[in-house]
Amino acid sequence: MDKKTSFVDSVNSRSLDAFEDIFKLHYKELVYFSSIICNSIQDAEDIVHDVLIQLWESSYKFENQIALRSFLYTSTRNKTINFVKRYNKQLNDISFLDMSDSNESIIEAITDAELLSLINKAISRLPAECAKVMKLILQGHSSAEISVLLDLAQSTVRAQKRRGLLLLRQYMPNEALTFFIIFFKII
Amino acid sequence: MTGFEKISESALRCFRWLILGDEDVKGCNLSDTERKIIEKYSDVDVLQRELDLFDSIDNSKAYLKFVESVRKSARERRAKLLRRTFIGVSAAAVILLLIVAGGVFGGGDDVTVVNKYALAESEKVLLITSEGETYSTSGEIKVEDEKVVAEKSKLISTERDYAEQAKINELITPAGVRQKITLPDGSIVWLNAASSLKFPTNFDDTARVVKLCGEAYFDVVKSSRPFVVKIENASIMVYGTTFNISSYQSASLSNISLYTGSIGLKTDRSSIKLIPGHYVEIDNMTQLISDPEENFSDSPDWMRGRMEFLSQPLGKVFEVIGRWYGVNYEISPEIRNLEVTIMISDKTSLEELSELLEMTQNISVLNENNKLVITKH
Repeated sequence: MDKKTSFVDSVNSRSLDAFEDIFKLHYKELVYFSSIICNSIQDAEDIVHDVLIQLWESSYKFENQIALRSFLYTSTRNKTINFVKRYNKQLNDISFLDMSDSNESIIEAITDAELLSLINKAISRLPAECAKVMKLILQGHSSAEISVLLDLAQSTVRAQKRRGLLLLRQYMPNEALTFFIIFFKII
Repeated sequence: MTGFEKISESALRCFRWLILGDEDVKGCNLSDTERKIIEKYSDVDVLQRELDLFDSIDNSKAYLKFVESVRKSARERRAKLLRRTFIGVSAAAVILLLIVAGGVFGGGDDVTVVNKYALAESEKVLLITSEGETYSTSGEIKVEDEKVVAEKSKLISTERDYAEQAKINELITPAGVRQKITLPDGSIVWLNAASSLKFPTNFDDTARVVKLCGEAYFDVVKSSRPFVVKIENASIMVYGTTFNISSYQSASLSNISLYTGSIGLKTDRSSIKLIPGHYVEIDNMTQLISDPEENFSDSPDWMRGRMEFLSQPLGKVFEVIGRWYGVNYEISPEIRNLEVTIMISDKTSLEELSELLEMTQNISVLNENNKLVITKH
């Protein structure tokens, strides 16, 4: 648990290392989330850049990582909506304009970004051979197809798939509530 | 955003359903959001497309852009602070500034303003003669025909507090300024910043004795009369040689480096003969002399207008930086022993130095009224 606290602490003290970790851990999902609203990865990148610069220059302090990530998503949403309004850009869906916390479209977009981030991180942690097989499985290929594509015996493909699933399962904690352990394992 | 934990749990449930085919999750009730997302990504083409898009977002490039922006705004802020510091420049500083404009830079010059950013706070070089007159000076200083000749100097006062030393002249450099002086025997001394050298108008027949407090580089003319440099708690006997002594009262160690010739070193507790290319350190408390260590350059860094620190504690680095730039500073206790490695030259501005430290260390350097405040980031 110490590591988790010290990460937030170093974000609070505006350490450049901690911000590098924010970029490693959360940048992709924030950009993806923003792009769901504003329809453009490029604009989304500029928006998230502004969000993180603003955080760097502010004196906000966070109690834990959940508070930090809530803040990141909230300010990314606000900045994206402001951006769309100011430059008359096209909104992906009018429902994003509802600024309440229970806005279903926003919740769905965040869940989407978080899911892709989970899959991305999970696969990137697999051994290279195993990750290749898992990526192809995620792309909907059958074991037979993969054995042709990667020039492997079908039994090897099946073994790699089994290994990948086991590793992913190990990587996933059983209780959803200890979800955040994953994140500081990555750090 | 309230309920962020809930969103994370949802994402995890989707992951377990889609990727792991987890029966436990498939058995439980899914929320509308979860069902929508699982439905969307059950189409592997969609999953593949979105994963590729997600992975193509370049976070390392974005981080570099972020660092660039942070640097730029820090630079702008500091420039603003420095401009503010310069508003109160005194008339004396203006005179010194003219010297800088004249291009007086580098170790061998008569007087060197180490860094133009030091000017706001620096005083002038003071020369107190054996006649009891105090001059401020900014030119060449020579002792010729039993008289101290100082160019571009101005008489400040003729009072003298310590009559018993009336035969001795004293040269004092403020922080941020170096001064060259030629002694009566033709030996040359480059006095580094924040140092003082006491010297007679004429050396007597038995020995040439000067007293140093601070740091100086000596080029001693060969003679049968030994040349003796007295420092706080040691004497260095010289015959004709080049060497550097660093013996600041604020520091716990004195450093004597020999470049050519030979010198003998003596404290109350021990003595040693030094061979060229070596240096020793004297513990100012115990007066013990360290074993000689090899020195890999042919003149001290500061004479060549540079400062190099290899894994030195921050406190020690700033002791030197404070003198070099003529600034006061304050370091948080917890980072005083932080080891840093930096190299600066007399072309490095205080602003650049602060930035360098901030970028390479986890510290922040703020200029508050020409006083550097160094804290943990």
